[in-house]
Amino acid sequence: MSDETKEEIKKLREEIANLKDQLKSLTEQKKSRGIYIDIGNNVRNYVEDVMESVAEGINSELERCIFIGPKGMKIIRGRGPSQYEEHTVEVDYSKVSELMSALGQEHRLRILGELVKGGKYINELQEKLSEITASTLSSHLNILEEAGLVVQEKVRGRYLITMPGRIAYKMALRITRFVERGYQE
Amino acid sequence: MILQQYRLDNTILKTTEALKLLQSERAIIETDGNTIAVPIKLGEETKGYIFHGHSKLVLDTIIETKQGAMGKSVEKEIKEPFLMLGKTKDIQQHLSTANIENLTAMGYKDGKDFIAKAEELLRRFSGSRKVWIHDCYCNASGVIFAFSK
Repeated sequence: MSDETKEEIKKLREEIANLKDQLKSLTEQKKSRGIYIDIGNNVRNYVEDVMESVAEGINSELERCIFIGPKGMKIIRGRGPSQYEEHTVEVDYSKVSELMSALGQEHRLRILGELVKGGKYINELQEKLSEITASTLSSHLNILEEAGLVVQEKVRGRYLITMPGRIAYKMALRITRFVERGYQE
Repeated sequence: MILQQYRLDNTILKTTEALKLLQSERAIIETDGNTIAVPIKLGEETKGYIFHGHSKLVLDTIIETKQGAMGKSVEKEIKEPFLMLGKTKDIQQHLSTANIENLTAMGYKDGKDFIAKAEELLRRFSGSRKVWIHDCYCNASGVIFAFSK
């Protein structure tokens, strides 16, 4: 809870205590002088206003403290330097789009799917993905290699999926499953 | 056993054809024909060579982990003289005497010029160390390469 919210709650308590005192004093006056003052609506309006501002404070605090990433929701605790700030990096959308376009092709996803199981020579990939012609397979592998999703051993010629390649592939599957599940619901 | 230092022979040789000096799962070192070479001797035995020619090093420094592959492949032209020690018997049959054209093609005036450069590399590699004449780099010991920076 932020200091601002705490301060609001403290003020609210003080106001309620103050109003209770006023009400008590007026009731006593009413009893003694026969005067009747209706302050019920004023108190309700005031409390609603204060509660609304408290709710706004809590919402903004929650937005600041919760980071929603690829692995789900992360609640950041503590009042030190915000960990959330570490996640707010400058985004180069052209690079992101370049990488996503390397990933955004069915054959290339199939290639990554095979490489996730282990490194493979081109003829092994050709056997597994017989629907892709040799030249197309080679061109897809070049695109994946340029994007840093796949690396080729120069000596043996084997293709391997890189760490970013594995993450990108898993993220693509996870997002797809997430979206599909959303549509079903 | 006698303690001796490596020394260079005076004979300048050249490769008669392209040679793969090393081929393993992760590394290839190859050199073209007409690469000049000077034998490294320990006692009377040839223990290696210093080569200079159009050569190439291919090295896979990639590690495959469960989280994905890390590292990269290095492919580099070797422009400076380099040293090879170890199992060199197979290479001997692909070497013949070099001529002045082979030396000038690599920027040397003559054989002495090349030997001087090769001596410098050998000195940087072995310093003043002495080794047991029958103890090091026998046929089962594999090979050692040393490259100029």
